[in-house]
Amino acid sequence: MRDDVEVGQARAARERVNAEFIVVVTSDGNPLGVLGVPELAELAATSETLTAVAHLFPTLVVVGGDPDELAPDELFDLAELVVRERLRFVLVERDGQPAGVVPRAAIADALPLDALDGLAVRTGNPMVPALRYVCRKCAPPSFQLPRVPAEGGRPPNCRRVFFHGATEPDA
Amino acid sequence: MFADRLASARQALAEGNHDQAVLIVGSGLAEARRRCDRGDGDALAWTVVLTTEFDALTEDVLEPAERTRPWEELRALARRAGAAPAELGSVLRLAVLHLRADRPEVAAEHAAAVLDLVPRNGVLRADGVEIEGPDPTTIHEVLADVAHDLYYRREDFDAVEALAGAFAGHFPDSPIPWYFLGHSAARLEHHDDAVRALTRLAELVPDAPGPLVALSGSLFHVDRRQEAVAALDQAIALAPDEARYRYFRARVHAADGRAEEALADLDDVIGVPVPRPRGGRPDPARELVDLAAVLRLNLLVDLGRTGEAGAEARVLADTADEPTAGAAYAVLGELAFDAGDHRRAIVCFTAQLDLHESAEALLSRAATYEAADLLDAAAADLDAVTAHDPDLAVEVLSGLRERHPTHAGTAKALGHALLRALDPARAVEELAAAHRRLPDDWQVVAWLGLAAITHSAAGDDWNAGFGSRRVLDAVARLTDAVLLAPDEPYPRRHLRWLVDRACAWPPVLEFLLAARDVPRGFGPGGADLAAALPDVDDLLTRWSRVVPGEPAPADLAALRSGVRDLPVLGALLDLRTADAHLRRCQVSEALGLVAEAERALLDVGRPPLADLLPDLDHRELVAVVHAELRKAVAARGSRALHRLGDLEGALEAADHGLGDDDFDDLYQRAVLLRDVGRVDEAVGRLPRLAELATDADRTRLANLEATLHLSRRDFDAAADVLERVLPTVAPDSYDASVFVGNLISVHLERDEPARVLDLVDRYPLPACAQPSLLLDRYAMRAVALCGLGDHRGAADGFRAALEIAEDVRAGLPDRESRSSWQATHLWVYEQAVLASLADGDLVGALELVGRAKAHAFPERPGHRAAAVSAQRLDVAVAVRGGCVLAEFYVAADRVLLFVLTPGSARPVVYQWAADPDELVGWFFDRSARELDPDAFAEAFGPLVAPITDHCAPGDVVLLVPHGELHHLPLHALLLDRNPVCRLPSSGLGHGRPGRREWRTALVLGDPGGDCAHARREAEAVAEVFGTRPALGGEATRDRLSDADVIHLACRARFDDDPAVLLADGHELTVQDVLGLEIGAGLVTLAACESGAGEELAHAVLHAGVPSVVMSLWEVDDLSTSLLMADFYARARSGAGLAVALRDAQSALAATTAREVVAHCDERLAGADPVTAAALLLDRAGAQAAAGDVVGAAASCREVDPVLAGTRGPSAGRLRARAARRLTLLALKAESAPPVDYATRPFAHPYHWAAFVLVGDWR
Repeated sequence: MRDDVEVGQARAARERVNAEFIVVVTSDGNPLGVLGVPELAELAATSETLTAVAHLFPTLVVVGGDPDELAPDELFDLAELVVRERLRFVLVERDGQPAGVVPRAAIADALPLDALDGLAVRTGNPMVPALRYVCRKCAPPSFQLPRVPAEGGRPPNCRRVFFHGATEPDA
Repeated sequence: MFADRLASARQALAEGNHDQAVLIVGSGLAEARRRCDRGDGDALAWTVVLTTEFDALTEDVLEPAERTRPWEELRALARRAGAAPAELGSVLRLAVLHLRADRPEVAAEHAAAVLDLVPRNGVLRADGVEIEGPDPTTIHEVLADVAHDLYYRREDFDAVEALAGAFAGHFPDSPIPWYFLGHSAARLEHHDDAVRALTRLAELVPDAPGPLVALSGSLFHVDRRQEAVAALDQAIALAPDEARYRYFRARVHAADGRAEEALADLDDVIGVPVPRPRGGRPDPARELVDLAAVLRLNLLVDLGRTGEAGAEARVLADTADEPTAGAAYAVLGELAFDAGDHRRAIVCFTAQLDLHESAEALLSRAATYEAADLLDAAAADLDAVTAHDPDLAVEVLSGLRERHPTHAGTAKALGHALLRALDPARAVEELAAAHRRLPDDWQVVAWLGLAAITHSAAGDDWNAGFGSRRVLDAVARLTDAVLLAPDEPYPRRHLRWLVDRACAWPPVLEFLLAARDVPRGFGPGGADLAAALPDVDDLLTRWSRVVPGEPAPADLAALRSGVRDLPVLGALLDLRTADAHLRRCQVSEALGLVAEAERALLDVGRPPLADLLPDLDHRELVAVVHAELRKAVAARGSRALHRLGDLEGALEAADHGLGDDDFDDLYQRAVLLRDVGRVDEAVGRLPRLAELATDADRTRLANLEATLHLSRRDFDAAADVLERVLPTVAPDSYDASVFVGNLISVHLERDEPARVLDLVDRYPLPACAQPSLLLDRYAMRAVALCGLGDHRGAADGFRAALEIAEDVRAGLPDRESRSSWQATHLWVYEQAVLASLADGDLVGALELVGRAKAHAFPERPGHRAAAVSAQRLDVAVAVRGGCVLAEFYVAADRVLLFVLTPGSARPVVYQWAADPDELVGWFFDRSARELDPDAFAEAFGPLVAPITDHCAPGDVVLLVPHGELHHLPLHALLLDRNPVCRLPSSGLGHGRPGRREWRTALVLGDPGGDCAHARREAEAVAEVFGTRPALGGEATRDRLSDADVIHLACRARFDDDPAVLLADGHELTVQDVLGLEIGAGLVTLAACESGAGEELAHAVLHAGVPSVVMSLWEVDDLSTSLLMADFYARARSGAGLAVALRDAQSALAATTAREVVAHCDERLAGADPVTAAALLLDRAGAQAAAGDVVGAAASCREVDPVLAGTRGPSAGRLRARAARRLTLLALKAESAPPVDYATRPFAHPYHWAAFVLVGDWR
């Protein structure tokens, strides 16, 4: 849904198609936020556009959709972020377009019980952080797990607000 | 709607929410654009408003270059809608943004577009909005900024003139465009335009003198001198104290012949009191006064006021700075000359030259010398002019020569000037004339020599006649010059320079080498190079002795060591040395020398007396030498890379330097093109090669043609060529063997095995033929025999070929070349195996499999790999003792399994048609942790199923993998039935009977002090043996000692040079291990993925250790610790190693979470804080695996208190792991499964199947 849609219209549209979530995108196609039923209900000002209330959106986490399967370390990293930021869901993107929303419960279900923090092995550092970046210019801060490193290892730009520029590693 | 959006955005901004404001405006802008696209005329006005707002909002957060897109989009929309004011506004803003983004050219384009649009400026109206187009002041300001940037920063006067012209058309009453137009036109010497623009500028700013002064300059240039003076008059009237304007007017007056008016202005300038500056810093006011004084002197002379001029000149000569005093001396000299006082004139000009040498002063003094009949001195001065201006010197000396045709010095100086003026043909004429009169003048002789190799700017005939004869003539002349003036550096340095370069040209080098034997040297004067340059002559002498044969690199290096300051000769010797290395297959040495020689290419273009300037005077010589040297470098570089197998690199090197005019060069390139698969391009070279080929080249060319046809699979054409050329060569010659080899390939491809045998019979190889030819011949014959169904004969043939291959391999100097040779001939092994199988010789096939594998592993220095037959006996003995041998062989299109059972010397063979890469590829696409055991069993179960048909449960399976099968845990498929022990090759069994009692152990653990579990594992293993482990910093290399068991619980490195990492930065590499005598009966490499470093394990076997335990992938610490302790305990209890490992693996797989928790709890008592924390995390892991999320979280929460007060990286990591695990457990608690402590946390093969036993299984 475009961000210039009014909150009331957004609610009505969601109810019309019985969607679990709506993904709000800016005029440039950037994801501005994900809203579920409770989040939409909490937005009181129905005549405001979604842009006008974007600062009330929950934290946005964008996960790269390629490759299709999350490696265990990526899953652990995502799970850790979900807990830390108290997220209800994360957005999955493929080719710069929203591809789906993964709810928190699905991530909890997927966590393998027999290898909860990866494996204590003797090569490399098991505590090496995954490719996780944060834009602290966003309010609240937004996160990205691009999965594939950018050319030259540069952090990606903020996906939410185009002029925020480069994100920083989320240590 | 848009108004509401705008208000909303402004409110957000007022509330400090900038992001929100930008997003609101951005979405509004997107909507406005969409409506514009749909034809909503009102929306365009809002697009303008919102674009402007958006630009303002992003000004502080985006660079100018990043803000152009909305304006580009607006421009496009406005253009489509025909809304000129909107388009003008967008273009104007784009000009500003591009200017700020440092793109002045793009800004200028937009500025030009602005000027096109200005006439259509107006008002943009929409519902409720009325937008004025850009106001003229803004437009003017932007255009002025662009013009300013182009003029002052870019100095792009053409662009400024164009822009300012149009700018002035639109703003005729503004001085700014006229300023830029006038000044840019003046800089471009468009003085008529400049006069018009500056006149208008002067009208617009009547009170400013600057435009008038600039105008006077342009007026002067268009010969409107009165007006120029008038303009200056006005300027002076406006700024009467400005002395510069008066000086300018004086110059105009002087140029116009109004000397008195000029003098009046100059007097005003000179009359201004200006002190002489101190400290050497230039003072513009003082300089102006000096310039005026000099101009005044010249005007006084012109007016005939010589006395006055002389007096003032003498004062200036004594008091002024050097340039002014020099000018005063020049005036004094001219006055003396005019008075006929030559001696005085010479003194004055000499004084002038002492202060500041110039061509003008030299000319003046030379004229005086000539007048005084001092011709030698006159010629010398004019010769000195050559250094300043050779063409001027030629002109003046030609006059002198005409006036004094018999004066030798003048001819000499003119010859020199002509040489410097790049007219060597005329120089030779003049110098030859001088030489007739001055036969012993070394300069004349040297210049005559240099003229022969100097480029002519006067005409192409001279340059076209450049050749080796002229070079040799130059060498001869310069040699003579050296002998005429042995102490002069000039001719010696030039001769040395020339010989060094010229030797790169083969005809010159050959001549010089031959001429050394000619008494009295060579050339017109019988030049004696040995006397002139003894060191160079000595070098050439030794060269002629050493180089023509096939010298050893050491001999050439000795010759090279004596070469000093001769870069090209040195490079040529480097290349000869590279040849010598290439003959010995020492490619890296050759490449190093080629690179060294290549650096000399830079020296070729350096002239003899200057290091930095490019040598343009001898460009024909430089071009020839450069081309020859580059060709030589390219040929060697290409050959070396070809040897390395880098065909693309070889071709690139050849393309870079080898031309199309030499058969060998072109042949080499064609061969490379063929070998890189660009066959058609190689074929395209054949006609040219045929043109260049001599009779001696015909056979090579024919073979190339045939191989090209072969590459194109045009076998008939190849056969035609080969059958045509074969009868023309001697049957026992090398050429014949090559042709026959290729013809055999043709017949094999055409499935004509009988013709192959016929050829082999008719053209037997001589006994002394190269081994590679013999090998190929045997192998080809064997392939033909296969085709005829004679598999026994074929197998014999392949074996004969392999004997040669293995002999050659044994003689190769290093491991790299042996590996490369082995890889090239693996196909022969494979064909030999298949032929033996087809012949029913299963024993022979198995033996060949062993030979094929034997060479794939590292060898101990000084040891041959294949003591095959003896070691196979060991295996044969073994298989009589309750074991079964299962040896795999992966061929190109199938997998073979040889099973050798107790009591039978004849194996049973199974085979599967399969692409080995596809077979195992899926396994390597994921980590072992992700292995699906059922899918693995389904995929690879069939490969091991036949083994169980030949052994009873409990028999040891001696598994010999091959190729990628080495990396697969095939033993996991037999866990419940048979212990498995691996052999790297059936030919590489246990080298000697080793210790089979496990009483003592050397245990090294956690050398880095950062791996708590490795430490715990080492402690557990040591406890089994009742010994003390060497932990942390104690785990050093020198602790390696004699023991029954060596257990290394360490990190490892797996790269090109795998190694176990020990304490204090020590490591144990493959080469280290090969150099050790290890007396242990078992070495365990409990490092991660040590199996991935197979070389390391095999090196241990070669070091004499009968048994090695290693892992195939990264291993989990806790499970490894449990597995190893159990394994050793079982071995010490008397179980054979294979059985002990299998049972320990089974037990580990069956271990329940409850047992793991109990194990951890048991060890917790008395553990140090770090070990206790690790155990708590292990316990948490087992609890989590059992689904007890709450219990696991409780264990994690204990970690922090346990580690209280403990520092160090290990403790830090454990804390972090505990925290992370708590986080994940918290999430998992939201979806917790049922609790079941009977869960087996290590049931997955990842935990238990990682380790394999290699070597002796007992």
